[in-house]
Amino acid sequence: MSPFIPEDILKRVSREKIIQRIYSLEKIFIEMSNFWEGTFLDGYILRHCVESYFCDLERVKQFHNIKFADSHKRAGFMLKWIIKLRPIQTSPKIRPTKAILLANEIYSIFVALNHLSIDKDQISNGYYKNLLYTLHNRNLDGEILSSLMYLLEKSVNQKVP
Amino acid sequence: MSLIPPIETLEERYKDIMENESVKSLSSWIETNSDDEFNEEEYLSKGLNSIDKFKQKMDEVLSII
Repeated sequence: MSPFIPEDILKRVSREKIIQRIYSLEKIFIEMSNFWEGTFLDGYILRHCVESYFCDLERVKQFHNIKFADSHKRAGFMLKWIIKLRPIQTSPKIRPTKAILLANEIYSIFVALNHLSIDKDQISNGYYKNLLYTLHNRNLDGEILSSLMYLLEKSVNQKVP
Repeated sequence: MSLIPPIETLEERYKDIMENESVKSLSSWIETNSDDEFNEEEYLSKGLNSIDKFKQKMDEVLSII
């Protein structure tokens, strides 16, 4: 029984997929954690992110009659839920740095871009700065973020969208 | 007595909008292509292999914010 996802959607997604995704995201956080000294990944919020992500994707897939969501949708919806629920938390005793204040944005960008066929190093610092600003200050839905991910992938690979 | 007419009456009333050819073509247009099935193992492996470079990149980005 999940507090975050209706039972019938949970069955379609499968508990195995959800747990595997939680593991991947946790592993990535651990590998990146020296970047955010003093932060921790809240397991319950992470589970909420993952289940909401799958639930949201299922909704889109059902409406558009899609069997497997494409990489841009996966990236866009991952961005949406990490930014919305902010699984990286910090202790009140920690003096926050820029990296800590933007930890969820940085983490969401990494796990989202990891869905795309791009070399993350090929994106300019200026664009990363812009993307961090957008995610921190603006309210974009999963579909718009998916479109942004599509255009970014095309642009990095010098393809016509 | 029901406020909503019988289904036969409604079918007749909305015949045009329900059977219209343009609507039919739009409904097939909405069926978009799907990707390959997602592979969690590949996703994690790709992520773990690119973390160090990404952290360096973020150091540079944070220095200009």
